[in-house]
Amino acid sequence: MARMAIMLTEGPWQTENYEIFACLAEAALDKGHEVEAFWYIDAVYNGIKHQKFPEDVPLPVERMKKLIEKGAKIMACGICVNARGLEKGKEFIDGVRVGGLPDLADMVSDADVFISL
Amino acid sequence: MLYLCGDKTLGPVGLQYAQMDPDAKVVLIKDGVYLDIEGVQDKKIYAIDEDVDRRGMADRLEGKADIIGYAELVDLVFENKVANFV
Amino acid sequence: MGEKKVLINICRAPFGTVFYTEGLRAAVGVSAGIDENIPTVLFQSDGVYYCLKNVDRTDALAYFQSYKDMGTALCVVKEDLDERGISEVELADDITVISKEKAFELFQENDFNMDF
Repeated sequence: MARMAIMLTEGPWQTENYEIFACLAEAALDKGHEVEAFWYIDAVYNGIKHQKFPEDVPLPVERMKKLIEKGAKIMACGICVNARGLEKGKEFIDGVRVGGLPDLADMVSDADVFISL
Repeated sequence: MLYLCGDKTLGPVGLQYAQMDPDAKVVLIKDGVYLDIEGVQDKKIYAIDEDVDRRGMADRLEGKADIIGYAELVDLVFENKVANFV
Repeated sequence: MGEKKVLINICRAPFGTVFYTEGLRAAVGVSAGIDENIPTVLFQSDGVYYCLKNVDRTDALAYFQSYKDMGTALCVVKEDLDERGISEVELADDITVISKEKAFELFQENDFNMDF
């Protein structure tokens, strides 16, 4: 078992990176690896629990919830969260923590591989 | 190194480094499957199945790239040093 | 696991997106943990435009002070300058011009890299 750190910098719905993030993280977890993620810039929007969409497609936040259930540790950049009016992440799903760049630094220190998306 | 190459902003930069690297492996991901890979045909090239299929690119990449899923990508990123261009 | 060398790879131009400044912030950030990882900043592709001496650095002044304090290398790829018709006299004093070959070596030497 090894540890994968992933930094995601894009939000849901606009670019494909959140889907790559979800697929890669899930595949790593399914293989028994540890996954730690840092949500930076617009990526913090992935954790908001009130997402809705008119068609029956998997919501980004549901995919993130599944990752957390499988053991992924997710940290959102606090400056990015507050800058977007997300008030310390009070509307985030359970399991998404709000932190700072020192958390990214520790994630980097502890990782075997680092992916940036 | 393993070069993860995404869209046209970052992907071509990754391909330039891959050309310089005798041991390069390239992974085409999301819009990376549209990249011009003529210059790296002597390298091992992979493309992500979902990204290839939804874009209808399977025929165009036949014989040029090995189509892989995320489970294989996970193994590749742990087995190789990764250069991120996604 | 311990200290890592991290290459911050800035490919996007200022100021149309925030990637340049968030990349610069991340370079300071990765050094802020217990292990004090060592960042190097590499400007390439359209990211090289940030190296012009008259570029407005107001939103990144604190980061540049940190780079100075930490001795962080700020590098730009010569071939990408040439492609855009930018000469070295147009660049800020704290930027080091390196070849694409040297930039390639930076990817090999650093443990991890992050693209912005």
